[in-house]
Amino acid sequence: MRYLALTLLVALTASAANWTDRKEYDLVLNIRTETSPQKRIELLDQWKAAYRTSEFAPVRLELYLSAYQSLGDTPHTFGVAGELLAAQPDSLVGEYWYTLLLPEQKAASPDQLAVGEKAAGQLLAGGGPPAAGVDLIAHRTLGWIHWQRGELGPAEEEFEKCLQLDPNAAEISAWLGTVMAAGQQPGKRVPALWQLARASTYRDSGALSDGLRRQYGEVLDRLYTSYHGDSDGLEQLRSAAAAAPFPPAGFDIESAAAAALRKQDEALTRIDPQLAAWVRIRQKLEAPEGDRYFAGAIHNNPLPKLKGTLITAEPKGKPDVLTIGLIDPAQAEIVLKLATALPNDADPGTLLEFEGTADAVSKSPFALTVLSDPSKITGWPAPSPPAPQVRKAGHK
Amino acid sequence: MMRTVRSAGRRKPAWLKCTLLLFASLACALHAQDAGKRVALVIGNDAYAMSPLKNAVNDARAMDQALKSAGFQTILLENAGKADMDRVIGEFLDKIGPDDTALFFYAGHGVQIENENFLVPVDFPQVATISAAKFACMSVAQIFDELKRRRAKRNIVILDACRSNPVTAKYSLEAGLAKPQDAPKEVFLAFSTGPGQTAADNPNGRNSWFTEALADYISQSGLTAEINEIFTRVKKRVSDATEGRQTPWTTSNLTASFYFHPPLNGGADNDSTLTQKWMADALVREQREEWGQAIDLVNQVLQKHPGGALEELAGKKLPYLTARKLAQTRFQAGDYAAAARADEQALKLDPFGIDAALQGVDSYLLQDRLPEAVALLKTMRLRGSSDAVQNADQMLQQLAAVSPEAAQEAKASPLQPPPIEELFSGMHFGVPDWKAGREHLQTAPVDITRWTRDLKMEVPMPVLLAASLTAVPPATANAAAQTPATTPPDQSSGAQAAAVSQSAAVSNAVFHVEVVPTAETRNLRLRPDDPGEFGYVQFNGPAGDTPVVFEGQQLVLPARLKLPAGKYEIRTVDQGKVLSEQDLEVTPLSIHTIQVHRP
Repeated sequence: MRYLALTLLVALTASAANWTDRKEYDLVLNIRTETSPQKRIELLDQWKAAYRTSEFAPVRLELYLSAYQSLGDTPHTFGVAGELLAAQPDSLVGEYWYTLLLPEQKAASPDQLAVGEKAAGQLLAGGGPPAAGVDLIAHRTLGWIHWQRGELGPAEEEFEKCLQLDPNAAEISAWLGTVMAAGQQPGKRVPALWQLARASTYRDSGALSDGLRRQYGEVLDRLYTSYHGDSDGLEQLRSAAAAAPFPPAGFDIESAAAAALRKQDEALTRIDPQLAAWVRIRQKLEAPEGDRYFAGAIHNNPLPKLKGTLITAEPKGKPDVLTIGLIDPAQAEIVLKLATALPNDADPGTLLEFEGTADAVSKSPFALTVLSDPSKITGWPAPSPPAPQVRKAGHK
Repeated sequence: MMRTVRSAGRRKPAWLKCTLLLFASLACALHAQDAGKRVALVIGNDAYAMSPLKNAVNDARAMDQALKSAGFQTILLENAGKADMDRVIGEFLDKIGPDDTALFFYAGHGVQIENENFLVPVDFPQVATISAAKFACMSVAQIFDELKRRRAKRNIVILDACRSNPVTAKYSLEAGLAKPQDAPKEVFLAFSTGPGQTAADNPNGRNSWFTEALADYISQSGLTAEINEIFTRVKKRVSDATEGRQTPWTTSNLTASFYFHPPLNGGADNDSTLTQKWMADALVREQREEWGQAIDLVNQVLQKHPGGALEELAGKKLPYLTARKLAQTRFQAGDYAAAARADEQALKLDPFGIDAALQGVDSYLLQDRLPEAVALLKTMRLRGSSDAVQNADQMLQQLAAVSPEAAQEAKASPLQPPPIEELFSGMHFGVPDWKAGREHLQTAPVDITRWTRDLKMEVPMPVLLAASLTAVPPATANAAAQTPATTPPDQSSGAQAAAVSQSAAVSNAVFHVEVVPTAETRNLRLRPDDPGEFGYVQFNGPAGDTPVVFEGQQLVLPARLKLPAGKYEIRTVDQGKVLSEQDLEVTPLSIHTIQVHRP
């Protein structure tokens, strides 16, 4: 393990450093017996002022770091960690504290992000005692760095690695949920809600404080209501997320849009099942995965019986290509290609029922080409009867 | 036999009495607060005519909840006028008795006038003079006076009232609050920022930075930290959140510890402030060679299991102190051999315990064991400070006449002190303090409010159904549904509409808003796309809840429609019925706002 090797290295190199003089040693003896971190820092300042180029300068930085850390003075601890890395780029102490504290910086500069990325990478490469959670800290910071750079996908990946290492890290759930929600990708909305619910409800080891749980709970309320349309089901989500870091396979929450769509579909199915069927087909064809749907479920397959309004019939007299509007009677949606021509014309606006087999689809403008024949069309007007012959009087 | 003179004297061990007194006082500090009531008055003022605030009422509510969780009987007053404040402060004072803890929290505008602090009621009137302004406000000094009369056991006054405010501006007064001049005894006073400074209201949050942090910490029932520690955390959090622009300020003359959530028992308490103080006291006792008291204090620290470097230090210190105490006891009893053994043991436990070495030298010299005494003097020369080295050198010079070892050592060159790692043997240089890191992670959450604040999760309604649902006016639905499928076509009405009439009926099953141009306005679409010919209508309402339909397009609330100038009807439709209609004329570059309410 790298940290053990470094310990040995420090032990071996310790004797290499020498005191400048006995007065320097006196100063450090005073530091040794001082238990107040604040006073220790004052004594360290005295030592630094008197012996700026001391051979023990790296050790002095670690003493500073320890004192600031004891005080809970994060900005100074982080600053000293940076100094350690500047002085010794492979300083494990510098790498660890820089990695740990970087996410607490309100406005980390690109340079700081780069240093943090390198430090976290070195921590991962070097390893550490499993109980120390070094890998978790490194992935946490790498995710945070990607987040700051707007690289939301890689950020998610890092945070997911964190949760695999520690499923109870509620802070990471909060970050992951926030990053997923920020990405605005439709497929990430439900997992984002789950993670925020997890962060705001989980209460055992690794949980957030009451205040933060409340804070994330408010975010969850707002996003859930916005997504789902109301707060129905939110309590069930909270209960489920409190018990598991990731949603079960197939877990879904219906969006307000999907709910409205479903309700409309249900109502439409009651009133006009043919139109409802067509609307469902068209929605799927126009969805992002419409091509796959067409190839797998529609192409060369018979469509249900549909009803629409004739817009055009070509060629005149014996038409075999009809354009039909189903949703909007003025907008062609289906091109009906007939195996044999119809015997006569029909007026635009004629309501037709038809069946056929899907052959092709175009999306802009939308049109589904359907192969059919006259026997599968109802509503087409009968040919006008031939004009009656008039016989001349007097002939026999 | 020769006897060296030591700089440090010895004292009679009166430690037992002191320790008992110490325990007694600690017990009092921990348990006395349980006697008496906890009473709090919480005021939040937002609704000022001039310069209203956004968070003060929220702050008061948050504090009210937090204080209730800490066992306070609370009186909550929101948007209080002067008369209300007078009345409720009277009620509050009437509840306070001699054993009680009184807490006064105020969020709102405050002002210092002639170095005196005043709280501004929401009905602060337009007055002409500073004197009148003072009269219209609530004097903090007056509250202090009343608290003094009540002789509460302790008073806690928290003022989140340091925002810039209209009174300051009107009378050209100093910003922020003044340092209080005549606070009562036993008071803990906290301002959201330093005297004379103004605090941020946290415009994007529900609470001020200060109260958000304070209420959070108070509401954590597991946080058994003393009030000073609580405010230390609040200061850090606020300072971090404001990037150093605001640091809360406190002053206290409390003579006993106060805990919002007292530890259930001394053994379970993990109060770092208290244990650190005990350890610091122990080290002072050690320097005075009051071994008994020092040992008791270190034992107390260990019983608390504070963890980290403190527990490690205490664990190492205890056997050392015990050895030193034994050495002193044996020395005073004239058992110099045992005293020397104990000092050697102490020196083994702490190689830098130069006082133990010196005491050991005494004991060996009294036994005429010169080589052992010289060996300890050598240790002093190696590890001691410059003064200790000088002291050892002098003693070696004196001993040189009777001891060849001393003479040889006296002639030896000064020794290079040991490496620094030996001085800090408890630290592992080059290896991070993993435990401290883990603890830091658990106690210092990262504030990501700036990212969660603007998160949105609105899902746009699909356009396809919207078109199908808005194709036909609802009024035609029933009639059209009865139209036979073979009805002769008519492009402009009837039959064409019939084809989609049923779906139009469905559209009305969903609550939505329709924007319908009048016949006259429809022609405007032929106009060129000149920005000057358009106006805007902003629809507000429950986010994502209600579709707004215009020309087959569908938006989700809140939505802003860009409409050609002209006249429109705004209809709300539900279950096929038009619930309301509103005429609206959109003029070029106008902005109308319509609030949508679901039935």
